Parts: sequence; structure tokens; C-alpha cells
Amino acid sequence: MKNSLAALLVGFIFALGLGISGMTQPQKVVRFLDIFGNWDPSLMFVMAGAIVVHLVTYRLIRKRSSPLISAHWHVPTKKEITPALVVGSLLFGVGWGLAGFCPGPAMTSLASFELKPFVFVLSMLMGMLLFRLVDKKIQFKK
Amino acid sequence: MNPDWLNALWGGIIIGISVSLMLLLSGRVTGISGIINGALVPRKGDAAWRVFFVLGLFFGGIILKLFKPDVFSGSLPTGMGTTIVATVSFIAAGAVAVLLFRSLGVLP
Repeated sequence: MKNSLAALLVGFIFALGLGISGMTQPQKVVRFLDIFGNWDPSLMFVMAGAIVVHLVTYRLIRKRSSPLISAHWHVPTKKEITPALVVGSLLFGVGWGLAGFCPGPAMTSLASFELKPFVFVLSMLMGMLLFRLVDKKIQFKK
Repeated sequence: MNPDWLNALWGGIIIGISVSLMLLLSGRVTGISGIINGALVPRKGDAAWRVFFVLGLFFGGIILKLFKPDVFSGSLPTGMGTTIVATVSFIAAGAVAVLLFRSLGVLP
């Protein structure tokens, strides 16, 4: 229950950050990727702000023996670069560039009640389900 | 009104604070696609927080819609230019992937 409330709070603040930064506007994302055209560097500043803050807080927080609510850490431990990671990242980037949405801003943009985020989210969920079927057959090294 | 880059920086800082909260409270990394993916076929005791996180994103969106509706005003540029950029990116991504896999020894 506490974890759910924490997640609700984090999601809420995250969404406000996305909105303020301009990242709920797909054309800003697309223009960031359009390096040789009408380039919009905003996304770089969003990343810089988020990364600098988290770089500091991550180190401080991980000095604790456990998080405040959960009994254990759930941070990923894998460090190797696998084909699954590379292919996944490439596909993610292609989808991101095509739609101008990644999962977070898409979920937040559902609140605009416009058609595009709904289509994106629906397609994303179908893609995730489809992957579960395909994954059993392909057996990519993870 | 702030210039775009300053808004972007502030927004990024807020995002950094939110993911730090997630780490401090629940000990988790805020990977959104992973959170959603895990909610799709939930494991027992590992679903509720995922749904609540997405609800938080949505409620945040509602607040933005109410008080700063212009953040959703951006429409996607469509037309020949976008299609060409997307197609070229896709092909380039594929080429890099093949190159990489060959060097990793995954492809012959």
C-alpha cells in the first residue's frame, strides 16, 4: 500500500516535470532528433537536469542499507551489453522518433483526451503483448 | 515566460527529483516501459504499485490539462520530411545493428 502511494506520488511529480519541460509535445522530441533540420535542443536540457540531480541523489541514497518503504533494493544488476539490449534500444529509438512519444509522456498525454496518445498507448501495449509471444520463439540472449 | 531551454532544465530537475524519490522510498529505478510491461501480465504483489504509478502520470496530466493546457498543444509534424527522416533513421539503425552484431560475433 505504501509502495503504491509512493508510486502514485512519483508518477504525479514526474508528469509535472514532463509538462513543464515541454516533453509532452511530440514535435519538440521529433525536432530534437532532427539534428540537421530545425533542431530543438530542449530535450538535452531535460536530460541534463534530470541526470545531474539523480547522479548526486543516487549515490547518497544508495549509501543506505535499504529504501524507506521496501525491505530491499530493486535496482537492476545486469551490466553487460547484450543483443537484446541493443536491438531493443534501436527499436525504441525508431518508435520514439516516429511518434514523438515515449511511454511516460504518452501516459501523461492521455489526459489531453486527444486521439494520438491513445493510439500510441494502445499500439505500445499490443507491442508488449506481441513480444511476449515472439520472445518464447526467438530466445534472444538477454 | 521562461525561454524553452530553462523550462526544459527545470522540468528535468523535477523529473530527477521524482525518480530520486522512487529510489529512496521503494528502492526502484523509474523505467516507465518496464513498469507498464510488468503491469500487463502482473505477478502477485507486484502489480498495484505499477498501476498507481501510471495513474500518477495520468493525474499529473490532468493537472497540466487544467492549469497549463498549452503543454499538449504540440501537434506532430507530418508530411514528406518526417517520413524521409523516419525511413533514413530506420535504415541507419538497422545498418548499425548488423555491424554491431557482426563485431559481437552474433552474426556470421
